Order: sequence, then C-alpha cells, then structure tokens
Amino acid sequence: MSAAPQVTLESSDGEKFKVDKEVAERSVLIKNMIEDVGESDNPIPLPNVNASVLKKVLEYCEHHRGDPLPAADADPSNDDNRKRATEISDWDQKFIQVDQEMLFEIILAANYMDIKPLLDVGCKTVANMIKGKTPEEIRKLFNIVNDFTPEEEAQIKKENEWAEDR
Amino acid sequence: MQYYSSGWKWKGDWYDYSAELSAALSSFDGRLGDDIKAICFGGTRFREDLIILGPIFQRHFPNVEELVVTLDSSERRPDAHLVLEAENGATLGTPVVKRRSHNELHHPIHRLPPELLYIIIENVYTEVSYELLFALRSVCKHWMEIVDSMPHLWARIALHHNANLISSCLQKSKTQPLDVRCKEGENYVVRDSPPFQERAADFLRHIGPSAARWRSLDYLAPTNAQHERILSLPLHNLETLCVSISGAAVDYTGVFDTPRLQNLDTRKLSLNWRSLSNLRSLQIDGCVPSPTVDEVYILLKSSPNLELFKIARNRSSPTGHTTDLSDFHSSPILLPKLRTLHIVQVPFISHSRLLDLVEAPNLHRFVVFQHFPYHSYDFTPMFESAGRLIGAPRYSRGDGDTSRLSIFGAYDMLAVVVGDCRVILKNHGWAQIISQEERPAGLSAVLRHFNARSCESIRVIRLFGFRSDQEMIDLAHTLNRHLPNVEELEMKMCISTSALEGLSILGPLSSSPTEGKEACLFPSLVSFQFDVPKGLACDGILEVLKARWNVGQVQAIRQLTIEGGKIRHDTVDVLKAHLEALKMTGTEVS
Repeated sequence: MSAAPQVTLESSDGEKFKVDKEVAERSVLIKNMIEDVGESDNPIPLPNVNASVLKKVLEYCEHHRGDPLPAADADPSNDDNRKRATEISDWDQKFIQVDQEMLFEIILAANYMDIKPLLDVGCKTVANMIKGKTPEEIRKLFNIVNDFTPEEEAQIKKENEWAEDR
Repeated sequence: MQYYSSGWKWKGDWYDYSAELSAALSSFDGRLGDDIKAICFGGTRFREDLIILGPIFQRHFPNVEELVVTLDSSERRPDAHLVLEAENGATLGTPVVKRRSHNELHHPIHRLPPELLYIIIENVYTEVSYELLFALRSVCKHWMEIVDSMPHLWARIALHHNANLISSCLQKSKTQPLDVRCKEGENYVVRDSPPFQERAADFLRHIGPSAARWRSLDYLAPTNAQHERILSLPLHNLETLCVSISGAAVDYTGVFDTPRLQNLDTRKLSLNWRSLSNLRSLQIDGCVPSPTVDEVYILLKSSPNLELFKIARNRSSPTGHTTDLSDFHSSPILLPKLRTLHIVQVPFISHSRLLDLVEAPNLHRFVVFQHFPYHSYDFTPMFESAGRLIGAPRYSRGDGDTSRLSIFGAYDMLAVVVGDCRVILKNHGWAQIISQEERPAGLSAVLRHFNARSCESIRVIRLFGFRSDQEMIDLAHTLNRHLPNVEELEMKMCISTSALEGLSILGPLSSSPTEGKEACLFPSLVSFQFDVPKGLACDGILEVLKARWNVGQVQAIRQLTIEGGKIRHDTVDVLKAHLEALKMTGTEVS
C-alpha cells in the first residue's frame, strides 16, 4: 500500500511541518496553492503563522480530516447562517481551551489559511466569552479603552435608554 | 520584549505584580537600561501602578524622556490626565508627552480585522435583544462603527414602542429586508407596562410604513388584537408568515396581499386560502371555519414545490366536521419535494381521500397523530393512506433501500419504515392495553395497500419494541401474509413480564414436516436474529431450526444471532455443527 501524499508547510519562524496532503487541504488557501502550482517538494510558506500556532491549527485539521468541507458559497448574512448554533463540539471545546493570545492567533490563522470551521469555532468561543457581559466587563476582558468623549457617552446613555424603555 | 498578562490583573495582589516586574527589569544590564528613552504604559490600574512602580522604572531607566499612556476606562474621569501628569512628574520626573486616545495593541483582539469582529458579533447577537445590541456598540468607538455598519443586525425588529429606537433600526438597517416580530409576552416588562394592545398599536404605527420591506413576520396576539391592521398592510415582499392567535380562532377575510409568500404557519387564523400559491411550507393548526378539504386540495395543487405540510385540529364546517373532498377534485397532486407530512387530529376519512391523490416520491416522514384515546375518529383510513404513500408509489422512490422494512411499536405508536421513509402512526389509545389488536390490524391495513412489487422487494424485516409476545406473533403473521420473500428477520423481544414467560414467538417460525410450508412463517428465511432478556433460556431455537431443516419447501436458517438470554453448551455445539454462522452477544453459556 502506497503512503498518503504529503506536503511540507513552513511557518513564519522557519519551522517545517510535514503533513498528509489531505490534512493540509483542510485549508482552502493551501488547497488552492497546491492546485495552482502543482505538487512539489518545496515547502509551502505561511508567513503569517508562527510555529506554535501552526502546530495547533494542524492538530485541528488532523482531527477533522474526514469531515465534509463547508459549502464555499454559504452566505453569512442569510437567515440560516445567521442562526448558526453557538454550540461547539466537546473535542473542539477542549481544543480551543487556550489562553487569549493563542485563541486570537488561531482565529487569525484560520482566517488567513481559510479554514472556515476552525474560524467558526474560534469566533463562537470569543462570542461566548462576550455574551451576558456589560460594556464595562467586555472592556475589562479584552483591555479595550473606552474612548468615547463625555458628550458621546451622554448620547450613548440616552440611546441605551431607548432600548430599556418598554 | 512584551509584558502582557491578564493573570497579573486578576491576582488581586499587586505587590506580586511589582515584584515580578522588578525581577524582570533587574535582568537588564545597566547600559541597555540607560538607552531606554520611552516607556509605553497602559492598564486598568495605571495611576496606582505608576505611583508605586515609578521608582522601579526610575532606578532601571534613568533616561526616560517620553511616557506614552493609555487610559483604561476605570481611570476615566475628566481630570485623569492632569492627575497623571502631576503624579508622574513627582515620581518619574518625566512629563506625559503623548496620550493615546485609541485602543492600541495591548490585547490580541485589536489585531482582528473588522470582518472577523463582524463574525464574532454575529455570533453574540443570535437573538433579538436591543439591550445587547446597544451594549455591544457602547464598548468603544471601533465597536460602535462595526455594529452600526451591520445592517442585518438592525433588520431584526421586535415589538417595542420607542419611536426613536424603531427609527434607529429602520435607518441603520438601510435597505435590508426586515424580520419583524410582534409577540405577546415578548419584551414584556410587568411594572408599569402598557397592555399588549397599546404596545402593539404603537409598534405598528412606527413599523407599519415600512411594510413593503418586511421579509418575515412572526405574530402572536390575542383574538381581538391588531391582526386585521397587520394583515391588510401591503406585504409585497413577505416570504414567511408565522401567525398565532392565543384566544378563540379568527377568520380573517380582508385583503391579504402577499405575492411572495413561501412559508405560512398559521394557528387559529383562517385566511383567504385561494389567494395563496407556490408555498414551500404550509402549517395549519386549529383553523376554523376554513380551510375546507377542497381548499387544502387547491393549496397543495398550486404549490408544486411544497416541502413541508402539517395540518392539525382542523374542523372546517360549522357543525364541526370537515366537508369532504368534492368529486371534481380527482387529478393527482404531484409534490416531488415534499419531505414532511403531518396529519394531527383531523377527520381522517376526508383527509385520507385527499392523501390518496398525493404523490410524494421523496417523502421522508409521515406522521399521523390522534391525541385522545376514545376519539370517535376512525384511524383506519390513515393506515391505508400510509400504505399507499410508501408502498404503492406511482413514481419511483427517491432514495433508500426499499428492500428493508422496520416495524417499531412502543407505548402509543406504530412506526413503519421502508427505505428512507418513516411513517409514524400515534394514537394515545394504544397506550391502553385494551386495544392491543389495533396495531396488527393497522399494519395489515398498511400492507394491504402495498403493491405487489413493493411486497416482493422486501427481503429484510426488523420487528422490535412491542409489548407482548402475542402482539409480535400477530404482527409476524400479518407480515408473512403480505411479504413472500423475507430472507432476514430481526426480532427484539419487548421487556415485559410476558416476554419472560418464554419464547413463544419462536413457535410460529417452526413447522413439522406434516404441516408443511403453509404452517411455517417466512419460508424464505435464512438469517434470524433475536434479542432476549438476560437469563431467558434460548435452547428452544434448536427445535425451530430442526423443524425448518426437515421441511422441503422451507429454506433452512443458516445464520443465527442471539443477543442476551442463556443457552446450554450442547445446544451451542449442535448449532455450530449445522449453521454457517452463529453469533452470540451477551449470552450466558452453561
């Protein structure tokens, strides 16, 4: 039995990862690169992803290697997609239990490498962190500075009262 | 080198923080420390931190000329900068030369491009909640820009009487189609809240002028509320209407101008049914006095792309009985996309006549439900319709292995599965032991309407979930009468006291040579699997097999699977010697 075809990926900090082509092709970016330039022994450079993040991303791709790929033409603004469930599978939940630095790096890498299911998991995780929090708590969570002027704050307060006024 | 740690912040002991920072800075050699000209500083406790950390910085970085600060919201007060500058001058001797008014890269979330923040916010805002929407846009200027530039978030408009809010939603949603919800009990504040009638009237006054933009309307209200006012609006782009009346049923006979309506779900509200066509889903519940069965026929006939049809509690004539289908409606209704069909608590004879005209080659789920055990409706017509729908298709069925038939009976249901099509007949009356014979009779009615090709093609039967051996025996006899080519049979005994009495179901499977083929169930059977409670002796199966080996016209069972039960060693030895395959799972051998 012949071995599964493999490709080599190179992280921004020069580390090389040899993985099954099927695993690497969970990334639409890589899939398209392979289709465009053909298979070669040269490593595929990923200048926006460092080794520690790439390792994590590949762990996800390996686990989901057999899953059906999402439709490319899914419209994020339509009703069905908008009502996407906020549930994340048990494995994905454990996988994404990382510090915030790594979480956002994974999201950025998934976006760059075009791995939609991983991007969804990352974004849903951040969304779940935000849910139920006040603006002040959200600011604290992400070290966001409240940069509204006092006048703007007054206007926001007034608008927020519209929502409470029932 | 970057020092970022949310852990520090949450330790709550800031001397630890100071000690860690001091230790880290002590690794700088003097020359490098001398070269530091600028310090960028930010964080939730900036002011307090700086007062105490100032001397540490001064010791390690004596030549700082520029201090860049980012204020956290907790430090926001009109004189914050002045306080900082004064205190800073006292500690570091360095004025604050640059203030940053925008968020900087202190947290990785700030590295996300707007399109990713869009996705995150979409995942946060899954249910309409104005408080949440306004909270999200109150975080900072950047988030406000993002939220305000997502028109579809604002296009979901729920019952609210604040004109400014509705106006804001309409403006920020730009040209997006609107999804409108006006539901009694939703967004309801008990204290000083005006009655629903008033709130709904206010809401409609604000939202009504944009009716041409409405894509969906979800409306739940009492009988005498605003439905006439809503339904008479020019809903030219309405695709989905979900309307429910919480009191007595309403017959709306006014204008209903919805040329693009595709999905209709109405509870206790009758409409001008003849004005509807090209629906994709139709759900009618408790609507009186219409639709009549004739009107349903016309609705189905004019909706060839219908995917879902549910009708429940529909008694359309003033006397409480649905008028029957008129004779002039006799041409078939082809619904190639119909996947789901529910018939609940309706007069079954008239609806059975209607269903006889329906051709649904891709039907996946057909549910008939009769709620009350002693209802006068006769269930039999529904068995017959089920039989015709799944067993006598005029068009070839869409998918699934039609050689497999599964029969499941538990509590109050009988499920018949052929290929991918599942028919579920539910009758609370069956939950009573008194009507045990109805399910075998019902199954017989189903099978009676299978055509010969369907009957002959069934090779595999799964029979499980029944309450008593006698019911299983009756069902097995019924199946045997209709299905001549059954080769595989799987029976799962019910867990009940009667099951423990013995494997009486095995009796009809055996036959003596003198009784011949006619007395033996499933003469083509070659594979038999049965599942029994633990501890129940299964040795009787050997006699069954022997009896079948000795009847010339009956196939010998060659493969046997036993799950559970117990069996003697010597029986196993004989079985092994005569069978091609013997599999036992969880069976006690003694």
